[in-house]
Amino acid sequence: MAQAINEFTEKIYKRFLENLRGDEEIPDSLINEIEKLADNGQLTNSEAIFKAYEDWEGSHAKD
Amino acid sequence: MPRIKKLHVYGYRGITKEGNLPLEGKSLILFGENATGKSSFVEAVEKLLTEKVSSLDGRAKGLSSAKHGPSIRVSKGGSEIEITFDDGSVFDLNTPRQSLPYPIRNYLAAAQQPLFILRRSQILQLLENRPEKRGELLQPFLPLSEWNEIGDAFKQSKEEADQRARESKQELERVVKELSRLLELPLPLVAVTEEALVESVNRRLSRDSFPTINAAQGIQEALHQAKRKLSSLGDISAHIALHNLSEQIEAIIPSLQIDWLATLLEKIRELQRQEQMQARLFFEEVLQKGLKWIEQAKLDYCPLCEQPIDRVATAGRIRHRLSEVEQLITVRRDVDKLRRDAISNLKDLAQKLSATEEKASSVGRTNIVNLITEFRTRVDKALEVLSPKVSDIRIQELTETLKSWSSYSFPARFLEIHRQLKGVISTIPKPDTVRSLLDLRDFLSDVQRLWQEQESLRVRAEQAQRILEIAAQVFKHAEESRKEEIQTLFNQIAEDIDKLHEKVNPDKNRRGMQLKVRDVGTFSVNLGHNFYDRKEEDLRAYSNEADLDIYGLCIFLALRRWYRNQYPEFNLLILDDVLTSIDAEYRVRFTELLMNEFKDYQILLTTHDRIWFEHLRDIQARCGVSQQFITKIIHEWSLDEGPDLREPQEERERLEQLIMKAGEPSQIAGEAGRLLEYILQEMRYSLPLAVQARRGERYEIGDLWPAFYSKIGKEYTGFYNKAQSTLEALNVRWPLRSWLGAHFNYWAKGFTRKEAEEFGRAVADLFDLSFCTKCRRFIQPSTTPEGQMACRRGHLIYPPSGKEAKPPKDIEEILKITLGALSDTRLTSEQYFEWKRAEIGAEN
Repeated sequence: MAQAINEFTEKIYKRFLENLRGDEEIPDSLINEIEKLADNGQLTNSEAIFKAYEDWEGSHAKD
Repeated sequence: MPRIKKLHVYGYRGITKEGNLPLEGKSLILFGENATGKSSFVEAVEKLLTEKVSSLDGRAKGLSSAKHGPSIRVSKGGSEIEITFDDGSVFDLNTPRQSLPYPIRNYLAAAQQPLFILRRSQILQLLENRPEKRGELLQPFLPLSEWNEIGDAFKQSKEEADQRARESKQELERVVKELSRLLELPLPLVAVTEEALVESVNRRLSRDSFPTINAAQGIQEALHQAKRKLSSLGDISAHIALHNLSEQIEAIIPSLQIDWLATLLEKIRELQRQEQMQARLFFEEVLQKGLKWIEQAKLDYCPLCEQPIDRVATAGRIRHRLSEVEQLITVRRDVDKLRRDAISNLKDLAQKLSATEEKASSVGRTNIVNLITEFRTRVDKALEVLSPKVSDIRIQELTETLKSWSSYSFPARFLEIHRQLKGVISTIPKPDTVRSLLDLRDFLSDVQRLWQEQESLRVRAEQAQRILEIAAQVFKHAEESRKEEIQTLFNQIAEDIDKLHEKVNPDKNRRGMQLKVRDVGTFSVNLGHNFYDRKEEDLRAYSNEADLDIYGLCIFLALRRWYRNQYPEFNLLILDDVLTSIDAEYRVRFTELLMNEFKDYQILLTTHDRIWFEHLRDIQARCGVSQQFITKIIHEWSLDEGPDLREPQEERERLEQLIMKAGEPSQIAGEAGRLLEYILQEMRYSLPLAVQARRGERYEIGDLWPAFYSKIGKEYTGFYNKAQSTLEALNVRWPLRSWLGAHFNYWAKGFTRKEAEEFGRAVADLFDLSFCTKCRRFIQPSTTPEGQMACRRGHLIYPPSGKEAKPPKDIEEILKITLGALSDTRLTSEQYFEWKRAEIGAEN
């Protein structure tokens, strides 16, 4: 997680990923996108997050 | 580990001028009465380290540290806040953090979260507020700002998804509504079904004898058929134009009968004949005015020729002549009405002719255009002739116009043209057939467009809904993860809170502290504990105010300790007047807890309670941490000068210099007055002195001296004997009346040099006799023997007359000195000593 500087944020983020993975309704592809956003320091960018949702929906519609 | 060596503030909050706290890396106990500027130092540190001030920023709209932080006595940008660390690094409001050494940068990074400052108001609010408000108050004590930014981004993306889903739904509803209306269907729940659409379209197709369809796709073919059929009918718009033209000519024909114009002409002729016959009577206006004059003014002479008249007879004649013209006036009025009607009819006709001419021109009917143009000329002429008022109408011109109108047989010619047009129209399709086909074509076209739109919007709305659902689910996990992690943290610190609380309140029936993050709300916290056999009770259920305060402090300290584990180099802890309402028994224990468990922190502790301030100094000594603390007193505050932080030794040195180096009498007297006041203020608490209460606890020399002099003389004979000449000099030489009601700057002006020097010397002597430079404290009454005054360690000691000096030397003596702290507790002194002995034993 590129943007986190504090341990507590890191802990919450890890728990967040665990909770997402434990939720059958959340597809892996979307979790991967969220992880990519985190790696690129984009997790505070609501537009980037929304785009990830749209991309997921686009691929979901194709499926 | 960085520690603050010096805090320098200029022009911030209540610190109007320069305010320096030379901490030398030590902790600080800062005493000052209310409104003397203690919290200004706390706020300055907060501003510098966190860039915010909790008491200003985010508290209310329009309130901010940027606007309200600087002192009202400094110009914009004139404030200075500067911390010097013990390694020599200096950090102020303009220092780039990157330019500082690594440990200082770490220190400052950790300090950006305001987890190191606790104010009394925060404790009260934390405990007394509703759970959701409590969450808000705890939030600043948790390092959540980073995650909050992430959580906000997930929240905003969810809100964006929500907005888009709502817009798609609204758009779909609009189209569904329009389509349902077109198909004459009741409004469906979501969208028009294909089945309903086909059924409705087929009803319409059957009505127009078109083949029905089986699916929505069939609309396209039906539309083609309708268009083909319309094409087979030729130029539909030309057909329609001819139909319209025929209808317009039909509407003009009745207006061509101009009997009304002939009638008008006849009436005008008749009127003119009558007017000529009675031309002499056309002075009715003159007659009417003359009658009025004669009757109202009661004139007995003619207003025109000034000859004597018989008023009654003349008025009678005038009335008779007016009755003769009345008929003529009525006829004139009727004729004018006919004229106006004629103009209106002609204008209406001209308008119809223009519209018809335009239509005829558009379908290329030149013969109709020519006829209308020819006729329009006559109509315009008639309008021109009739425009003047009745009396000005030229009969001859009107007669000729009428004649030419009749001679050209316009009605007959229009009828002929209309007949010819009807003949053409009979060969083209009927308007009803064309209109019906056109309606069907438009209907099918609209249905097809709306159906496609509906289907496309339905897909979009479904997609938006799916995005919303996933966004809401992800956001829910973001929120839950935050709450779960906070709960884990709370569980950890709950144990620490119990440990800390036990040190302050040993009652074992109050344990099991719980901080529970509630499932509901953004961040809502319940506070509970076990009370005897009652489990998980609300803290407030069985706790008094002091207990609650202690819990609040322990929660904060546990959070602070947890944060320290993550940032060991950040050791600052600020407690801004938080101990005020705690019972003395708890205060002693809490302060010991602070001195023992937080001894490796740099503590800045403020208090406005003088007695408590004295006890704090005692407890420091008892805990063996005196060397780690410095104490500062703010004597007073003024808007122009800010907090007064002078030290007594400095005052003494200044006084000496003024005496030795030819200071002005007023300067010497003023300085001596300030030092004497300092001494008396100290004595007021330690002796203590009974003085008449003053608002704001602001006492002057005149208030304190009589009580001091009297008490020393009666109860502390050892000190009195030693200082007798000095005390008497102060008491006799300077009458008290001159000290009352004014302050130094005023009364010091009346001193001669000799008087000022004697006064200064006496005050300096009193200071030297009462202030121990080794302990840096004033003497105070010893517990035993009664009547003895001594400093903390017995460097200065004045036993009562006839008794031996007894310097305080063992721990029990020191404990006795803190006895005052127990005056309002429920513990007896025996219980207190038993507890202390046990504690000391355990520590050893």
